[in-house]
Amino acid sequence: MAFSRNFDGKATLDELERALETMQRVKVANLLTIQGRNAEFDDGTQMKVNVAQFDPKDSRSEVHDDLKLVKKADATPAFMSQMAAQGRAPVGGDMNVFIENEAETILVFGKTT
Amino acid sequence: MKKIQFYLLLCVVAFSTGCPNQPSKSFKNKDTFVSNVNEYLTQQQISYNQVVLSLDTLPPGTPQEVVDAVDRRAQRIRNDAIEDAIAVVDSNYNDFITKINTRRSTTDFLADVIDLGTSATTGIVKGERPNQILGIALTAFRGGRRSAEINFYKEQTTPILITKMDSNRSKVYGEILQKKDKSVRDYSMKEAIRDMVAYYNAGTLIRAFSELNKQTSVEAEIARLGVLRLQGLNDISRIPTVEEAQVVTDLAAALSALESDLKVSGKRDVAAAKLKTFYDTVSAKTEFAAIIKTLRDKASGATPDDTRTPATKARLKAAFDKLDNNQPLTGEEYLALINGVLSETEGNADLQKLLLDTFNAM
Repeated sequence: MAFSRNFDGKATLDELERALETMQRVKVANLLTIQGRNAEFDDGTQMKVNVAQFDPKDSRSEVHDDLKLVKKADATPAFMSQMAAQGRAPVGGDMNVFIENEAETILVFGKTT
Repeated sequence: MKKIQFYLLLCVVAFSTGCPNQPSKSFKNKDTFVSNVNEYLTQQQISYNQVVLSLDTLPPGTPQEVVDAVDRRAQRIRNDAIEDAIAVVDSNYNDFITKINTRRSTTDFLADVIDLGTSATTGIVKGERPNQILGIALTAFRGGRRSAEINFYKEQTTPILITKMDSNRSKVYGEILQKKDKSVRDYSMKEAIRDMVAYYNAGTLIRAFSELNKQTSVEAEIARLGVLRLQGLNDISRIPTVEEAQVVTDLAAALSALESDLKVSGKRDVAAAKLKTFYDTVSAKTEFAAIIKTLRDKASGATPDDTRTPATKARLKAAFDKLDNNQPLTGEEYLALINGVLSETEGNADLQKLLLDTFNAM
């Protein structure tokens, strides 16, 4: 069982991170994946969006509510070590999303606060 | 395999060539842009080295203000070199863009780029480091001409290429600006020269192509998924402000703490009582009436709900049934109700704030 939410592709990386974290806390759910998509409204308006899939949980203790999103290009070995040291586990693998309407590959790390 | 070859080609070229425009064709000519820049940087580096050398040879006990003055002098030479080189690179770039916009199509430029590879054999000049920095290895383009990836070049429109070059240049320039205040110990002339080369390369078609290709491959992956049909802006979740997100963070932290307390025998009753009070207070507020109605409908199955597990739904249903029959609820059931209310406030920052204020007022 999973549900999805769409976020505006023009959001910055920080804004997207904040939106995902907030959604997890509000819905008591874990982020599964996030995927950039070209979207079109009924009136023909086009928009770049990020579709996030969430996995609902029964308990807040199961939610990795502290997320860290990073562009893959910036994920140096030192950064990866830092994530591990902070107890953050990778969420999924490479995720192709829109950041400020530009296609980017990102990595997501999460932990339970 | 083709992609690997393409990246190798671009990496080699991007880090070793000059700007692939008309003047760049004659690198052997002493009057060209590259030669002029190299000559200027050579002079500046000699001046810089003399000052830095004097800094290293200052006798022990030299007053700090003297040391600082020498350091500042070297810093000034370095920064002047940066500014002068950037001005020349900018001027060259502007000529380049003007030519793209006015006289040539991208395809013409591509022909020039390829021609460079087949005709030029200029190597990297030995000698002072500045003489090397804009040296070229244009033979790498020979591979490019044979490569099927040339179709990729041809597909790019001129405005896209210019925008990408502008973006690349702005990024490098921003990094240089941040370094200019550093002392010569923290930001040497050699590093400054590397940055100037990076700035120069950022305004080349080659770098634009390589950056575009990276971006295009991700975009291609996204495009492969097709177009997502949306009905309206209601299908887009709003991005919370920092303050709004903090409200949710505080609420979630409070509920997490109560959830933990429910598992500890010594704290369980207090936590359950607090959750009961919280829910009773919230449910008495008219602002939450619609939300609780929706929650009831979802718990009973009258309204579809894919945001909760079957176990959570069952607990919510049991909680509402008990409330309807005036039966006591467990702490976990009150917690499910409160979590349910918070969940239904999704996207409504005002109600989330009211929820937090209600909790804090207890």
